[in-house]
Amino acid sequence: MVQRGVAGPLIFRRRFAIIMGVVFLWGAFALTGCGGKKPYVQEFCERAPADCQSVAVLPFVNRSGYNQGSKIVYRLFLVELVQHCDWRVALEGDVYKIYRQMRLKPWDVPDIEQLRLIALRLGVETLIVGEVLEMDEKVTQSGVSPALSFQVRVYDGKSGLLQWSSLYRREGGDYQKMMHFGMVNTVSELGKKMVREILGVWKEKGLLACAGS
Amino acid sequence: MRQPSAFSLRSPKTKAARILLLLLLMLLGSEPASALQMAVMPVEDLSMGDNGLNPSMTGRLREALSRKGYVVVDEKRIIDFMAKNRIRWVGRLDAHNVLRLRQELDVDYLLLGSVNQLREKEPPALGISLLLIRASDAKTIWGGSVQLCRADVRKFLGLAEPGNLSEIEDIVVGRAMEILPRNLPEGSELPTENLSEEIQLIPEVVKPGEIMRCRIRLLESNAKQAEVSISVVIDGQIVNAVYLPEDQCYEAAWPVAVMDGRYPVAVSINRGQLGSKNVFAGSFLVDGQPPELFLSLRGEELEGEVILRRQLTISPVLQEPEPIVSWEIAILDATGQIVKSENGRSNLPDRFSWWGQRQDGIMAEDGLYAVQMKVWDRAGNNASASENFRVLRKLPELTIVTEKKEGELQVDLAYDGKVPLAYWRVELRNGAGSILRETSGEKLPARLTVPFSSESDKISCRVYGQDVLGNKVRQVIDNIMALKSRGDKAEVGESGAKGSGWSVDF
Repeated sequence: MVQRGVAGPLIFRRRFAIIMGVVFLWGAFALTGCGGKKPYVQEFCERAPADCQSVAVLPFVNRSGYNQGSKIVYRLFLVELVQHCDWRVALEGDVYKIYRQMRLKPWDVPDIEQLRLIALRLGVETLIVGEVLEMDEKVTQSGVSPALSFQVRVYDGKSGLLQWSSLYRREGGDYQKMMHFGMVNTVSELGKKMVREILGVWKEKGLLACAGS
Repeated sequence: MRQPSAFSLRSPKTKAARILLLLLLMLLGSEPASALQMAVMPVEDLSMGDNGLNPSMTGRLREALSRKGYVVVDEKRIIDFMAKNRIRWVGRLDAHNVLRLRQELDVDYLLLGSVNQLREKEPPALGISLLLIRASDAKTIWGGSVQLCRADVRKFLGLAEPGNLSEIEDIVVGRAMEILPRNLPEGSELPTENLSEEIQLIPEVVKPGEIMRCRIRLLESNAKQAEVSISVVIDGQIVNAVYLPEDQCYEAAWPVAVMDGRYPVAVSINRGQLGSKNVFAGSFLVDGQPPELFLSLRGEELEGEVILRRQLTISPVLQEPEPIVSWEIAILDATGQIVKSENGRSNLPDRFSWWGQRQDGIMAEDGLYAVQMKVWDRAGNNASASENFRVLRKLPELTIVTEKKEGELQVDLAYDGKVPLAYWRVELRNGAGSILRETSGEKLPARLTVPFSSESDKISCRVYGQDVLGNKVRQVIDNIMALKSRGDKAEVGESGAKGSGWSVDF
């Protein structure tokens, strides 16, 4: 009688503990707001040049159809790069001046020779080229649903060869934690988060030789 | 009685004064040490398309920086500087202009801003990005971006939520000022040597033997002209550049080689004590070969000749495709007079269409014409091509001759036009509209006979004809019996018989 009386609550407690554990894990997983999605990085060289001190971000190409989409991501990338690396980042005005001198249109993707020439003229070791593949912001009764996808390629300025590239796609809802918390409501905020994540992964992989990393 | 000490006498007032002084010092201490000069460049607004401007955000940033203790350069001086230096774009500035801004307006830092996103409809949103550039070495020392959507700041019962875009702007600018570093780093006085020259090759494509120029402008202010020597190396040949005071640049000019091809150009810049460097300036193309141009005309064809009946399509074809900078096209009549012309300063269009209308809008008459085309490539080499064609829109003329013989009406249909007939058809109907006789064919002449009972009988005639070019005619003769006998004829395509209705391309 006594043994029965003890075994009943023990089984119940064990089940309760398992259920609570599962709930806790699910909650922790949901609260972190990440489903394990990280920017995809493809490396084309063994290691980034350790002595890299300067970088130029070339005008991004807009393939999304979103008005000024490439410029929005370009500006966000420039800002985050300045914030997270102590490199000398070439001024946007200088980049456009070189483009004008070389009779390149901002939406042109420079070839290997042109990349080398741009790097030489700007005096930078690394060049970043980007393409905005998708940019959308749907405003509905239930809220705003931004989506952004872009690719960034990093070239060695001396050789003009591709070093690594990243492809990343995210939606505003991907950052939702609980209810409306964490929800991203603008493409610019989404872009900022995505750029930060890309730079974070580059740092993790040792591709960015910034002092701050 | 004890004389009160000076200290004790002034004590209450001194304490208050000290506290006030301390507060003042604390307030002063929170501002930048030596009131730095800050230039706020006009803020670009990407939501307004290319080169959009946001004066409201520019003003707010200026105010916020002033409140932070910076000496903000007067807006009018910034606009004057931009006008003077022909800066037509907002949101970006090159190193040369940054250094010039420092020289002319004595600024320490400049703030470049852009409104990345501005949504007025519900929920309103605003996103800005800011870049702070140190004017002494044109280095971007700080960057930050702030985004805010009303949906981001949902609060209980909507209390203290931003009501409109203006309130969102205030919050965004406030947050931007919060993340702006308090102590801005000092910069080196000497500008970096990178990008301290501007090199231009003029022109990009040149004819053999013509003069090619390479212009080099040194962007640093402290370059001593006496110490500077610049030379240009082209295909092993060295050309020294001379200083042009009126243009404030160095120029090397040389006659290009006679051989067609692409020639790389390197520039050797010796700045004396500041050092020397070799720069690859780019390349230029020597092109002495005029483009080979052909014209392909598409219209109707007759005996190997291209005919314009409705529309003529002219397709210019380059044997070896290359960029074309300008073109001219003209339609000339048999006397060589231009009846229609067109020109353009762009690449060659794929095709031209001519509907046979002259420059004055009147349709061109039938006859022999020529289309003549001239093109110029980037080096100025010119090529021309010409092709003949004929305008032929005259309707086929069918002749009807009638003869009454022994109670029968004999109708002879003939055609003697140059363009072969493709098809004809004749219908003879009585007064009630019933078909008495119907014949069709491809060749003429043809004869039809139809019986009639009396001279007062009414027989109507419908004639259709079409030539091989597609020109069509139709004639309706209400009473063919009314036509006089042989000798009198009605011509289809001309004025026609009484009561006839003529139409083209029915």
